[in-house]
Amino acid sequence: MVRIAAHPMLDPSLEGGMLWAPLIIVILKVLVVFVVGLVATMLMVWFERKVIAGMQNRIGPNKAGPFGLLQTLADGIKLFFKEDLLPRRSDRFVFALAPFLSFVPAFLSFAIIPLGGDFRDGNDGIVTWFGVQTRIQLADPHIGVLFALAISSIAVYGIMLAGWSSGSKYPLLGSVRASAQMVSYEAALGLSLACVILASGTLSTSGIVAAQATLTDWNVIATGVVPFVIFLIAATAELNRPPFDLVEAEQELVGGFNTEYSSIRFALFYLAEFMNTVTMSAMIVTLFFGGPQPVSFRGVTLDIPFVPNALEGTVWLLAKVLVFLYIYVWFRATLPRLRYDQLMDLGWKVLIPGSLAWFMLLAAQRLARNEGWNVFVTTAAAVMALGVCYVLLQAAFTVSNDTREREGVQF
Amino acid sequence: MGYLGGFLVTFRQHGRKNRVTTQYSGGRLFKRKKRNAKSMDEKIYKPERLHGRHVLNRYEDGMEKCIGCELCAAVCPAKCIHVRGADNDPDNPTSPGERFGWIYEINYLRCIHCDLCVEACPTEAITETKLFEFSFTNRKDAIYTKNELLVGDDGKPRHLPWEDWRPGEDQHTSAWMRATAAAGDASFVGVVSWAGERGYGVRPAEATQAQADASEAASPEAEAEAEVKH
Amino acid sequence: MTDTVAPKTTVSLTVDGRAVEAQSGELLITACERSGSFVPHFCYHPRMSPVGMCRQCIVEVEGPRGKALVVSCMTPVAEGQAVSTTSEPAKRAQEGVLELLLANHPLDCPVCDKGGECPLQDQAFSHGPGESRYVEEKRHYEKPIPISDLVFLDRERCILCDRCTRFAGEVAGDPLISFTSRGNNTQVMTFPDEPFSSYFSGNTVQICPVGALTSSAYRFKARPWDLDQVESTCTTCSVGCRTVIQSSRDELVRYQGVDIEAVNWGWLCDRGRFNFESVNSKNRVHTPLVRKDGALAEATWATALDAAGRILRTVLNDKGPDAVAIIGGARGSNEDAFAWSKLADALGITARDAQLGDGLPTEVFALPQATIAQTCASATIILLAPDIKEELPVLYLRLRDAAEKRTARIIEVSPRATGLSAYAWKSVRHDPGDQPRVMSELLATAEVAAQLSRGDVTVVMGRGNLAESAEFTLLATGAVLSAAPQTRVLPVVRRGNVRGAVTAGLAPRRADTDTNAILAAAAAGRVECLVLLGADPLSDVPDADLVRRAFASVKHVVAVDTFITDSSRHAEVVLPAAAYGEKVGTTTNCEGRVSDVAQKITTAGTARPDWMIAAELALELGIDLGVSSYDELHDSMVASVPAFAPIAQSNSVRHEGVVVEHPVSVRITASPRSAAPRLTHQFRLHVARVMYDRAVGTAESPSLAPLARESAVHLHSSDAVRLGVREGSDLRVAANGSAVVLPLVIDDAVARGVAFVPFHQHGSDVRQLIRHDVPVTDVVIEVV
Repeated sequence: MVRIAAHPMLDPSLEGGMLWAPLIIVILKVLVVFVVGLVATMLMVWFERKVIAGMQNRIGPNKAGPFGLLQTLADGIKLFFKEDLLPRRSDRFVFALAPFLSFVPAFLSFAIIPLGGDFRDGNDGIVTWFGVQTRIQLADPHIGVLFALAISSIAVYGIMLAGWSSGSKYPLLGSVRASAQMVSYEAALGLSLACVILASGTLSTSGIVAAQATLTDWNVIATGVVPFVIFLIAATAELNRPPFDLVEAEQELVGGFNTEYSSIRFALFYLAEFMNTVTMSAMIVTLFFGGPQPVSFRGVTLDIPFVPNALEGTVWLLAKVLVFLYIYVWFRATLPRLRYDQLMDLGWKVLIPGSLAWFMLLAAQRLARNEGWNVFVTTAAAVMALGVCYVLLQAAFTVSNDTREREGVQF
Repeated sequence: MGYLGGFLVTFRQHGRKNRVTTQYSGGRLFKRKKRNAKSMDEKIYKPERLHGRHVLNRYEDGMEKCIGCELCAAVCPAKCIHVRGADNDPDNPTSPGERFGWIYEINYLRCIHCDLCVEACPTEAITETKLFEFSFTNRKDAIYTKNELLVGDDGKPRHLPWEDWRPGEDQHTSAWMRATAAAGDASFVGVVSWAGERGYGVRPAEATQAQADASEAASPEAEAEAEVKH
Repeated sequence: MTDTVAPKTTVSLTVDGRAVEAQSGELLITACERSGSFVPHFCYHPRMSPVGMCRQCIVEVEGPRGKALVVSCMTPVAEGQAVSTTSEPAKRAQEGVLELLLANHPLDCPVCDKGGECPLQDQAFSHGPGESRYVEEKRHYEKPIPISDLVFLDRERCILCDRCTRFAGEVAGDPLISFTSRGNNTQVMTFPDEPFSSYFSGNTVQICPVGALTSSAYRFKARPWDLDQVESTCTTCSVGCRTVIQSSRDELVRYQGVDIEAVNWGWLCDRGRFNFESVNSKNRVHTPLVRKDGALAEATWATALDAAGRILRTVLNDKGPDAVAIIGGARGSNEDAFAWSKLADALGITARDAQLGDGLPTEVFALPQATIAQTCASATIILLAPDIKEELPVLYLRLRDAAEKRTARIIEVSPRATGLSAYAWKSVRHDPGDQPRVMSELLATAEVAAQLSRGDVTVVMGRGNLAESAEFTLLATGAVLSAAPQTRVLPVVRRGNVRGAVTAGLAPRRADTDTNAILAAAAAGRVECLVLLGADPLSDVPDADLVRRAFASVKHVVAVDTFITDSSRHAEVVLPAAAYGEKVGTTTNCEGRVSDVAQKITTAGTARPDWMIAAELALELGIDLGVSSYDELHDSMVASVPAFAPIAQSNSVRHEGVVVEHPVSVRITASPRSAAPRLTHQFRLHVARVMYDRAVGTAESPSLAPLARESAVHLHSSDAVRLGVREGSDLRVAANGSAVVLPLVIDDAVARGVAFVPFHQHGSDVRQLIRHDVPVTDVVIEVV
């Protein structure tokens, strides 16, 4: 048994020497993440179909398995047996590679999310398995959320290359739109993420979770609500979920970037989308809602009876992630699709300036606190400065609109 | 409704009793003896002028209304109607006048149920019922011929083997025609300008908007009941 | 008074503010339409005289006496007119006329054939008042009534525009319909007991501006918006009228005439108009047939081509190319004939003939030719032809127009009065075979000589009598040619594309290798294989005995045909051919005009165009014709056949057609030799075609088939009296060792001493009496 000092980073692989227990833990974690990821995707699909059906006065799948739980499995099996087409004009290698470029980053992002932990009694989420103290997440790198951001950028590659390599015009249009959309919303994503990092002081996910011990510490409140809202919207756009799903808009683009894909390749894209949804929900929960932290307000911590402390974190995480999954499905059932220009306008003209402005505000406040200035005055000054920027921005928009109208450019 | 009102609308639909789909009538739950088959088979009421499957109507004396003029085929945006006219046998006329619809086929794989054919028909021969559960299983069944479309001697549509009927769906077979009979001209609202139908006689005029609003405000339940019973 | 013609002057006027130049004498309505202002009209038709019946074309004209409303179809242009088609008074007048026309017009549009292509609908929409004030009861008639076998009349819909009656009287020369009664009860009607059985009744259906006249063949079959059309050329006879073919759901549904100045002026004969039904017939041959165990059985193309190839190879190898003969090719296109001609050349087959011994020797195409327009513009037209009204009806319309309206004078020499006799300047009856002598005598008269010197002379020559040899017509023509050297010839050979087939190469090399010679050789056993290209010798060759003997002794018959005819029933291999409307090609009419034939529907079953069959058969025999598509074949034909060279540069093949010529080289010598005079107790047989007979196109069209008559012998009334027989009694007609029994019809159009029998009708076959080596057929008629 190795004695571990109070060290926030506990990555067994960083310790010298290979011992059996840490190795088994790593393998176990990999398995768990993998299995949980896949099963979560399957259940997410089922969940979405049932919830949407409920919202549309329908029953939803109810034939395959009890309550239709095995519907996704049935769909997967069906897709597996379909003919795998390779269009004549497609670039074979890239065509085969693209689904994996979409699918794999989802798992990678899932790896850094804390899936549970014991947060009571001062335990910082650390549990003991086989005598080894470890966190319940597969990896906890120092760069944490930066890693997640980077990986989600690779997902853009998947979609971009899928469309381009199909050798057909609708997928190409779909993928071009998709990449433009994802890239624009990543900026907003990153900026709202910056607010969180500012509040938490660290990039690692476990650190962010640890910094959200009480309800008021939850980043959704600590950073103001605005970064959370912006992150939610930007994440929806990153995932190509409705209302930002004109990438795969069937009415306009046949199938968008996945038109030419069939069989397993299509299944991978489909699963990748849902996997990403699960991952992003978990990410939102981790960043803004305390992850596996229990709800604790003014010293009173809610306790779930009959659940041992070690598993309590997982239950809390599950509950919170479920809420966000429901919210995503709710979006899908309620909101009509955004038109492409509306989408771009939202991303560039509202979310990016908004999140940037908020970040500046938060930074000003932090600086004021650090330097001992009057927070109110600083905030007011910052707000005024931002107000000026806002006016300038609006002026810029007006000028550009007028120019466009004059030149007769269509959207 | 605002941005967020829509969310409330969808949220409220959870757990509502009235569903558009029912359990599979061959499914597990349905077969369990403990469940009441009838209650599981209930569907929400269908609006009076729902666009469903077409029928070819007849006059009260049994003569077919269709004169084979092909106006429905001409106006159909999906080009799903095939009509050929023929001369009426003078001793045994099928329709009043010179001409009757000899071949009349609708291809339901193409039909988009827009009911432009119902509006175009000069003799109110083609109208739509509320039957929309008619899932055929092969292409041949999908093309409904004149025999299948023509109403029977009692004025009711023919029940084909693959159609899933609910009570009352065969009743309102010409609501859309009557609703659009005036082509929107306000001075014709409430005026009966159509011929009688076999089995139903001359149908009454539709309620004006004011009357409909008044009756719905008075008792929405009664209104819904009346719709179902229709 | 000198006979000078006033020079045509140009007149300037303004129409709706635009300056227009018009020819003096032109009608105002044509000037307005030319300048771009549409004037609504119903009764006006550019090919008929204006009557001003409908008053719809009222326009306001300002002249020296002020403004006035005039009917533009009856008003000639004059210098300085200021015409307004859209002024207030003109508009009110147009709207008023439409309101009045619609007052008694029934609400029939959904059930009316014309709905969708109806000028009354269209003009009521564009120029009408929008609402009618007529609330009274409209007049009622029984509707519709058949006024002939092919046409129905609905008097409620009639707007009394006079188009149909004018056409029947002015253009067709069959004034069988006219207005009766007066006032509100005016109606179009036939005469009692005389149906509208004109050969051109279908044209009234086309020109009727409403649905008053409908044809039984098209009635209720489709609506105008169902129809898809393409322009083509009719190939029923060799006039080659320009038509549009309309189809719906891949079935031919209607033909309409297209106005071509050079040929048919928009008219069609009923036979050409309604025989589309035969193309859709269920009796079409859909698959190749190969004889097995004595009966024709369906086979695949591979099997059939293999069988045909084996037959040809065996015969060619054993007996040489002279043992194979090709008969037919005049029912196909130029390209079909060219492909078969190429195949025949490659195989060394010289025995070919597109005509079935019932036409003229091909040397006539080498005489100086006249086009139809030139014929009608000639000063003298000499007819040495069958009854043009029966065989080439639209040519009859042109010739009648030439005689009536222009200054042409028709000299007719025939054994029987024809449709043109009433318009002929001189009509001479004679015994069949006597033409040369009669012609020479006529030419010798001063009157005729003076007439010939007045201007152009055209001889319309055809095979007037199938019971006599063609040489008499040739000799008579020769007589004219020597008397008037400027004479030109319009050969009216019967089948649609005889000229094209002959030009493409399906012509006998010498006069003694024509169809009769081929059949004689077959009967003698020298020809062992007959290839029939859409030909039915058993029905069409005049010498029926010869054909029977030939078919009895020939070893193999390979037929390329659209139906199982009498001849193809004897075939060993039947290859299904694409019919008219199912293949692309060009055709040559009697004047040498090449125009295109279009494809509108897919071929029936697995039938193929003749040229494709030739190419495949060639491949089977190891020959590559170098043809893999229609365009290649067409280009090859234009390049190889010098006569067809002009069509390469011209796009007119798609509309008016291009006239091609044979080089002039032949002179027919004249000698007034005639047949030996007949014995007085005998009659000379005159066999000629009538419009409706048992031809495949007519027989397989349900609306035309009942119009074919029973075979009968026509005698002059005095001959009937001499024989002591009454109309309808059976007569035994005997000649050359055979006899047939035919009922008697008394017909004073027939010359005395001549017995006329229409060709190819139901009942006894008169061809049993004809022998190809006997110049004229003298028959003995006895009472049965």
